[in-house]
Amino acid sequence: MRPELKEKIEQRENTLNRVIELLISSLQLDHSSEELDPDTPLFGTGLGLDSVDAVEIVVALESEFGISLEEGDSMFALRTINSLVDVVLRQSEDNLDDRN
Amino acid sequence: MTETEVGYHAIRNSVAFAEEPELRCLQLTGSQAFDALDTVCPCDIFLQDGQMKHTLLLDDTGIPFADVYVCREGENAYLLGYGPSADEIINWITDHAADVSDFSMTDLSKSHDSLALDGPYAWELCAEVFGSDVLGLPYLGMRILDKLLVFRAGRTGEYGYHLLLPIHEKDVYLEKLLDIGRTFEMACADMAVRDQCVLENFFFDINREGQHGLTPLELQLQWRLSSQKTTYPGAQAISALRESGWTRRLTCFTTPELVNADAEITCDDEIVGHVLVAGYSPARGDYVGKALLCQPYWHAGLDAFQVGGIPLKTISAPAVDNLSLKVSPYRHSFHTRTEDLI
Repeated sequence: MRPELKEKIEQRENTLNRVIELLISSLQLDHSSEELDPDTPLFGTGLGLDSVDAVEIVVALESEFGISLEEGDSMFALRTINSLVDVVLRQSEDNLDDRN
Repeated sequence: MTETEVGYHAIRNSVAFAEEPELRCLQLTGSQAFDALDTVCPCDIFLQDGQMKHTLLLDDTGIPFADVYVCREGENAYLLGYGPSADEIINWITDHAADVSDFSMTDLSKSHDSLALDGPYAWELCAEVFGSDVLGLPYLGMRILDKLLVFRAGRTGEYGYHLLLPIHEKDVYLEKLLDIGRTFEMACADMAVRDQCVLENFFFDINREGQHGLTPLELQLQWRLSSQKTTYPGAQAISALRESGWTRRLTCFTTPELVNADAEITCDDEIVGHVLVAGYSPARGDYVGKALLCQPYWHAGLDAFQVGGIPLKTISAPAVDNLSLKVSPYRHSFHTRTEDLI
């Protein structure tokens, strides 16, 4: 495997694991990390979270990753675990670009 | 526009209807109706009145053979979903819940016809045709209005309702629906159109990826299973797989051209998986699909793949942003949609 692909996969995997652990701890989910699939829906079906949980997630993401969700973005960013990972990776990249 | 395009446009922008003879609905009655469901379903059967839960029916090897909702209405339980015939499901439940005696099952398709309404304004049309009580129905909620059974679910990512109409009253309801539906630019959406939307939204389809002998762990459907329950059909197989680990996973992807089902997916000339299903996404203007990818290539956000020279990129599901996420029954209306600035 090419080193840049390996690095990208590791980065994705690490962020995914951190987001899953964050969801479990901040929402006190009764699941192990292995039971949460990346494309699990967060609201309605899937984990069945509610609007209070959404606030918890936004606060936890800011605390853990230093990222903030814009109001317009949050509707789509909070659809699945993977969509949260996308936002974290994208904002981390943006923050890195800003610093450079 | 072709009929298919009209149907698709209606699902994504207004409301579409379809007869759904493929939808199964069983009513379970008796003091042990919920015990019977609890015996055969892999999810926890804690349901409040009017609540639905999305789950699966698994064979003894842990492979899903039916995509179902379990529902409670008063003292009765309902099993709604797709897969085998109602008779086959009844026989399977009878076999697997042999220790549960006080319950009986009725196939409601013998007395009711099923109709699906999907679209960002399905709620508004439903309320005008069937009464404003429908507006208060939350996602994964059910209600009986007179003799009409209303289930709010759907697999298109838009507001969705499954309606079970008494056969002898169907024509009356249908006439009213078509009449009022005209003011909503309602169109008919056949199964191919609805399948297209199911694919875009990465909903599980028992008739497509459900035919490949994959477990809920490989299908990313663990949320349909209880993490505590240990005694449902297939539980031992699921438990063994959780212990040993699994090495392939269903992943959403996009391609600029159509790729064939079963086509091999490569990464630097190494075969890393294959396509299970793919189709055109009008909302995106490219092709979306589901691939079975091996670890560690099974992640979203990777653009390192090829299918016979066509580049393939994995993405987070769903593949589309649904208008229904922005439409609120409390603030919006189909009739004022241009002023609503959604």
